[in-house]
Amino acid sequence: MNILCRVTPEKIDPNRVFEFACDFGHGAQTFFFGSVRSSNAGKDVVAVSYDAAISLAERVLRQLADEAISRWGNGLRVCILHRIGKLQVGEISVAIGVSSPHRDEAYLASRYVIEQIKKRAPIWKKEFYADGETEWLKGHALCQHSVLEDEASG
Amino acid sequence: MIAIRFQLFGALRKYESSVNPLVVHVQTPQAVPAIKDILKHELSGRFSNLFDESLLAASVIADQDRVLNGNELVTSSCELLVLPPVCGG
Repeated sequence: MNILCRVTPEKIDPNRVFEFACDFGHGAQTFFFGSVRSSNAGKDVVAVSYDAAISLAERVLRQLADEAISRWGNGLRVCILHRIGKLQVGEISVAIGVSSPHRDEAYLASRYVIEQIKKRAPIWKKEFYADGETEWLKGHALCQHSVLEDEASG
Repeated sequence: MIAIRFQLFGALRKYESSVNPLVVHVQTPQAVPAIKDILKHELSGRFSNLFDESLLAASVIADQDRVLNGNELVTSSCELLVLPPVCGG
């Protein structure tokens, strides 16, 4: 199996991503870790909370991995982990690991996956600010085709 | 009549209630736009001027597997997900 996709309330362990992406037949691995930052739009952020339609979100993540493999090679190994629940500043919210024979495909697939997650995965983020206020971030409206469309055929 | 139970996500969760689950009973079949209208009416009734209609308008209806298209008909009791604009990653 060359795809691992999970939506999880557990802390994301980078080693899990490294170990899955390891393939001695490949010469390239790329790793992206998104983390909670301490400011956004001029506000001091102390934490964020992620909500997800978990079953559907995992289907979307697997679809994105399939699309990446379809576009950049059947030999790719793709790992996508997304955290849910409340995270403190600095914690990893999303991890993407891609392994491929050569670096070009690994870079392109990784970038593709994170950009698609932001537009298609049924996941939502609420920020907690230092002044006590909270806000659900505005996002991308879904449609029937946006969640499970095959970007590779577009 | 069928019963549709709605599960809300993201900013819509503020309209959830553990003591008063969001369940509506409707005639069958119901198309997705009509289901959204029914949900809008239900939430407006519960929350009056605190209800953000624009957020529901920007949301889609899904089941556990996929977003439903506007032409689909719901013909049996089920649970539907209401998904506002997304911002994961």
